[in-house]
Amino acid sequence: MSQIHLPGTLTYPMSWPATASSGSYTEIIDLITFQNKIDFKVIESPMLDGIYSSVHNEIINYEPEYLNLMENLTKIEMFNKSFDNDEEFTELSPIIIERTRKLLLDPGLLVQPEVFPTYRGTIQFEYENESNDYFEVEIFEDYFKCYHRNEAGKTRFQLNDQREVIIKINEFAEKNIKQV
Amino acid sequence: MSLQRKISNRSEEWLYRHIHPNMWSKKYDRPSSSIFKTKKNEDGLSVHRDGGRTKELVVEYILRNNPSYAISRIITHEEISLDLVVYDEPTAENPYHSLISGKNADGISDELAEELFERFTVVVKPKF
Repeated sequence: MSQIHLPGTLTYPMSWPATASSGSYTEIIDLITFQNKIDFKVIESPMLDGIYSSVHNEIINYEPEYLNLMENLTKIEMFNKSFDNDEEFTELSPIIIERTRKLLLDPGLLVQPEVFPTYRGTIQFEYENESNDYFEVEIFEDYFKCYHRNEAGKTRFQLNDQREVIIKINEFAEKNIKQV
Repeated sequence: MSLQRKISNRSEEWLYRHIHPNMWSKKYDRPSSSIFKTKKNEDGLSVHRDGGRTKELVVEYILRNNPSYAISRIITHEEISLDLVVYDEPTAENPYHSLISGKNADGISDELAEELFERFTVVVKPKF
C-alpha cells in the first residue's frame, strides 16, 4: 500500500497509485474540486493529466472517510472566497483555518464532520444521527465551544485542548453514528 | 444600540433569513445552526420583514442578488415569545431590512440562536 503525505504531520495510508504519490497533495487538491462524495470536476492541467486518470480510477475506491476529509479540507480553504459578496460574513483568520485543519487531520478523529463557517469568524463541526441527537464543535482562535443535544436535554461546554475535543466527538460518534 | 432605532410593533409579520449554500447540510437537507450566530458585539441578526408582501415577492427580492441562496422564515409573535425584539432598520438598498435582537439589545446569544434555528422554517432550498 502506498502512502500520501497530507499537509501537517499526518501520513495517511491509502491505495494511492504510485504515479500519484509523486505529485504533491496540494497539486492534487488544486486539480480536483469536490462537489459531492465522489463527484468532482477537474481543471485541465497538462502536467498532471498523466496522474489524473490514475487518480480518477482509484478515488472511487477510497475509504469514504478519506473522501470526506479531502472534501472538508477543500471547503475550509474556499470559505472566505465563497462569502466575499456577503457583507455579514467575517473573514476567517489563518489561525481559525489552521486550527480547523489540524482537527480534521487529527489521526484520532474517527468520523469526519460536516463543516460550516459562521458569521462570527469561526468554523463549526456538526454531527447528527437519525434520531436527531446532535453534537456541535465551534472553533475559536483559543478555545472550542461544544453543544450536545439529545432526548435527555441540551448541554453546552467549553474546551481548550484539541485532544479533549477529539475524545468528545468520538464519544458521540461511537454511540450515535453507524459507520464507527 | 442606536437610539433612533424603532422597535417594530407589528404583532404578526413574517421575517425571512437568507442562507448561503455553504451553510446548508447536504447530508441532512437542512441549514446549519451557524446561520444564526452573530458576532459578540453585533446589534442583532439581519432579516427581511415581509412589509405586507407575499412570500413569493419576498423570495424573489432576496434571490434577485443571490439566486443560489436558501431562505427560511419565522413569524414575529414567536420572536416575542423567545424574549427577542425586532428592530426596523431600513437601508437604502433594502427598506425591509430589520434586526432581531435580545430584549436588552445585546444581540443573539448561543441559546437564542439555537432556539431560532429550531423555529425558523425553510421556504426555499439552495441551488448547488
